[in-house]
Amino acid sequence: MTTNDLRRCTQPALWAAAYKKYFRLWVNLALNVYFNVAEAEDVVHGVLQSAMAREGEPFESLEHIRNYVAKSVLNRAGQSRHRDDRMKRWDEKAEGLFGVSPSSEELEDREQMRILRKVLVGLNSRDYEIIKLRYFLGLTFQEISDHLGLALSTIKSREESALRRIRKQLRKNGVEAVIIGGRKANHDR
Amino acid sequence: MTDKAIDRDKLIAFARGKLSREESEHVLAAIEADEALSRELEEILQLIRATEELEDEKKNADGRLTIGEPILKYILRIAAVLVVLLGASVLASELTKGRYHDLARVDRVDFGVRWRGDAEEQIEWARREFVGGDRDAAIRELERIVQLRPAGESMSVVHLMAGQMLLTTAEESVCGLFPRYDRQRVTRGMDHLAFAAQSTNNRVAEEAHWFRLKGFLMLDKPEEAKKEGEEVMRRHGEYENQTVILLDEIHNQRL
Repeated sequence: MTTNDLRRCTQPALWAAAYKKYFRLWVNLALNVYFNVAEAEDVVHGVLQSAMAREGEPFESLEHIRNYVAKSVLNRAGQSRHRDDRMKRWDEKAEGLFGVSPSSEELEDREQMRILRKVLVGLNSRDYEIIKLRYFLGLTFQEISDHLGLALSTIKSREESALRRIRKQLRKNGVEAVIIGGRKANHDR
Repeated sequence: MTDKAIDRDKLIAFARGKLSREESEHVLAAIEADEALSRELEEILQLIRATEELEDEKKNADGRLTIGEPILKYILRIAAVLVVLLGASVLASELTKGRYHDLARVDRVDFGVRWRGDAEEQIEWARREFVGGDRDAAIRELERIVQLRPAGESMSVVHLMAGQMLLTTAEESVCGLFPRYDRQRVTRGMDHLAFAAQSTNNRVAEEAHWFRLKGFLMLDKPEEAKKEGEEVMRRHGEYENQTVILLDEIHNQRL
């Protein structure tokens, strides 16, 4: 990695924010192909290396970066890997990347996360249990139903009501633009 | 246009990397084409991150101290335990307290009886020492007078004061809890008061009986206390009204 490479990364703050926000998603997608966390991370870093050095139109938003890197990660399957060399180059790049001041996107993300955590802590234990099983453990409705011994319809309605409560609390705290999305959120308004 | 085939389950599976490569590509294409799906994915990603962070924190809080909220929780837990312990101590303190403990308490003593005559200066010195805070020195001085002049004219007053001082200082406790009266000190005071109660001076005798009433309550002996109360009332002096009230309260306590 040369100074020239770093200069080519024209949006370091945006990349830093995207990295912190979506790294887990990208690794999860890479795990589909590589089945090994270290290798998956290596692939993501490799993709990031190329994406950041990309010439052309700048990225418009975090979501734009999210989709671009996700697509690239999925396209990496079967490509030859030179782990050691790529990791070395990524480490050098990352050093420059994380030295930058947090972007407004990153600060906004941190604040949203802080508020969301506060809202989740404020949920009653029954609602939090459903959210935890669904998002933290990634269980399907059917699996949660089997786990808790409750009807499928009960689980679904409980998740819906928990999400409604979360969104309402988030709106009260001024978090609307990003988190209040999706099809169900539209029904709630 | 929203892709109806991509439901929330699928989006969660996508975010968690549970879909095959082909399915992931399909979902990603749909997300790129549909702003609502993209926003729903954002919500899911945030919920995944937030629950992961919360569960991590919980795990840390269970095993060790971490900064921020867990420390506060730890402090609150300790405070709650202390409050429970304090509550239990107060309760135990109340339960172990003597039945007549509060009625027996002597908050202050006026030393209303003054003496002019032999040992006048030593008696006055002892009074000042007691009021000034050196209570044991005052008691020692009075008992020294008793030893030096056992037949002195002032003896009834000296015994009365010594008895009053011993009873006044007989209450003890552990940090305000588990209050009790030092029986040895009370008994010592009662001996002095017994001598003073035989005084021909009505005022001295009345005061001595009043304090013996208190002393018997300190020793949990209400019957003897009652007899002392009757002695006080028989003299129709300064303590008569207080005695009537106190005897009534003793009666109520015994019911």
